[in-house]
Amino acid sequence: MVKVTLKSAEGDVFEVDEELALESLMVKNMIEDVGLDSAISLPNVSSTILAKVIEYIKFHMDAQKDGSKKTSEEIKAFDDDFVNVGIPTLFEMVLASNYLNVKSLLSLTCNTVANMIKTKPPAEVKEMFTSAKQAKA
Amino acid sequence: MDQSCCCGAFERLQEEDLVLYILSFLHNLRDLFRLRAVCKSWYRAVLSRRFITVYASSPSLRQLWCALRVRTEVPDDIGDFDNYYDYRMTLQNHVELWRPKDGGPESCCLTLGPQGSHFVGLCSSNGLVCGRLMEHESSLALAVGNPITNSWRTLPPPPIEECDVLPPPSLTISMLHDQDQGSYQIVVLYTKDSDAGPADEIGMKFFSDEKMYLVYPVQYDSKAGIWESGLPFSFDTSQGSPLRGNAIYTYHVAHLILAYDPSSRLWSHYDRAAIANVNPEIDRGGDWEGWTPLSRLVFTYKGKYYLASQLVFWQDVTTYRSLGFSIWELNYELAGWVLVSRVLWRDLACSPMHEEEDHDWKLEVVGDMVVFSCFYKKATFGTLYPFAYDMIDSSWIAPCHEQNQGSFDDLECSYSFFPSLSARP
Repeated sequence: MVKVTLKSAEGDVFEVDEELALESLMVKNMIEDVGLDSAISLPNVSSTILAKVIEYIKFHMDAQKDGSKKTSEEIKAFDDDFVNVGIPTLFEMVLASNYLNVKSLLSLTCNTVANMIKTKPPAEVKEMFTSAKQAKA
Repeated sequence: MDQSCCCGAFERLQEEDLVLYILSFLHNLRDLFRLRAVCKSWYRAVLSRRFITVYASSPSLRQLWCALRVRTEVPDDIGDFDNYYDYRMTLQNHVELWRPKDGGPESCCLTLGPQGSHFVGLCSSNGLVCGRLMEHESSLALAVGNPITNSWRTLPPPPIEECDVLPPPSLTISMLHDQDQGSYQIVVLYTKDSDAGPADEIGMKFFSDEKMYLVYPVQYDSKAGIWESGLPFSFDTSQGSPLRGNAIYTYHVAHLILAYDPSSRLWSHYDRAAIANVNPEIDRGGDWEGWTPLSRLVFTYKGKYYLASQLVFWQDVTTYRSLGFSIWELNYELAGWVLVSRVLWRDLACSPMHEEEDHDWKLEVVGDMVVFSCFYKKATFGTLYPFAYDMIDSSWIAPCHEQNQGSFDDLECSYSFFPSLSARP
């Protein structure tokens, strides 16, 4: 199996299967442009977030494989658990999946944000976003 | 965590593409409208043309909404057999929203018409709803609005005499909203006692209740802001078939369908509006055995004409049992109606149907969906949820509402519409 090397913002190196890396349209384009010889640098994605993105893609790739025994309930439980994180991490995942162009993860995280804000008054939403920003700063 | 990559996530989340994408997951447009106030970039995003495009292409949102007026407490003074329509009584304890492709119904915060009014929705087109204001009992007061933005406009009264104004279930009204032009056209077809009309009338006279009637059109153009009366239908001036125009009047006794086209102001007609069980053998021994049509409703979809009819089984001369509903397509070459689909009440089973009750059906075509619902009527005295037929998927959809099983709701589909942020009344 061909491996692809991804480098996070902190410079940490992640070696993943090519098949997995291609799930990111951004990485796919990079591979097409520069080939597999050098590590693909992802300066906008932290190591923590990159590890989570890889975990997400890996789970869903396995779940889609023939012979996978994962039920749709299990997949949903994984997704629910996956986005059950603090607001700062969730926002980072939105940005990372947007940057890496992983459609299914972008959809999952944006839907989660939408669900969090939908019943809240605008002032509370603003506060939620602002405190997320302060927590990170 | 490294500060360089996590600082300012909020600012970066304000990138228009992402804001638009997140907001497109908000299925309740009222939430969306409220959340505009979060910050400037969101405010701009929600009203931007691009958002409306993103929103329109989001599959979960490209679907019709039915606003259901629900009353959960019934006053004691309603007699069992009281058939009197009283649209002025306060019907709603709350409003529910049913999106056929998305489950429900669920409580929602949509308004049922202009504030303080007793609005009965009658037709809709591209985000706008038109209905009658029942607080004006004898005159025909119509209002047009966008339920999402909660903006409503009362139209000037149409030139129809008090005595010719019919109650909502008998009113023939249609609307066409041109989104690009931002204008809409409303047509009301009504019957008028020919003895009371001008002497030089040449219209087709309809005999009913021992009186002669003529069918007249009045049309409203939102650009001009005025109503204009047209000539009554007559065989001499009608273009005949094929039918043209979206304003349709069905004259059951003569099996006649009249269509009025507001742009050319011409009538057309088709005189074989009857569907019949010509081959009863096919259904012998099955669920549809011995069906006959009842309560026909004609509609137009993508330039073709269709007829929807309840199919019933007559147990004796006065009582029937409702079998289900059917949709037929008009085929000029075969000079008749071809069955498109039919559904048994039983298969709409989520929705409890009172098989033997007489309902005043309403049919609305919204996008690719045909919504069947009942007008509120004291005699129906209970729950009757609307159901829909998807013209693309060829499927029937009824709302599931297990949570309401056993409760006593009076409800009416007050209007069905395609949600729109941009439509202005």
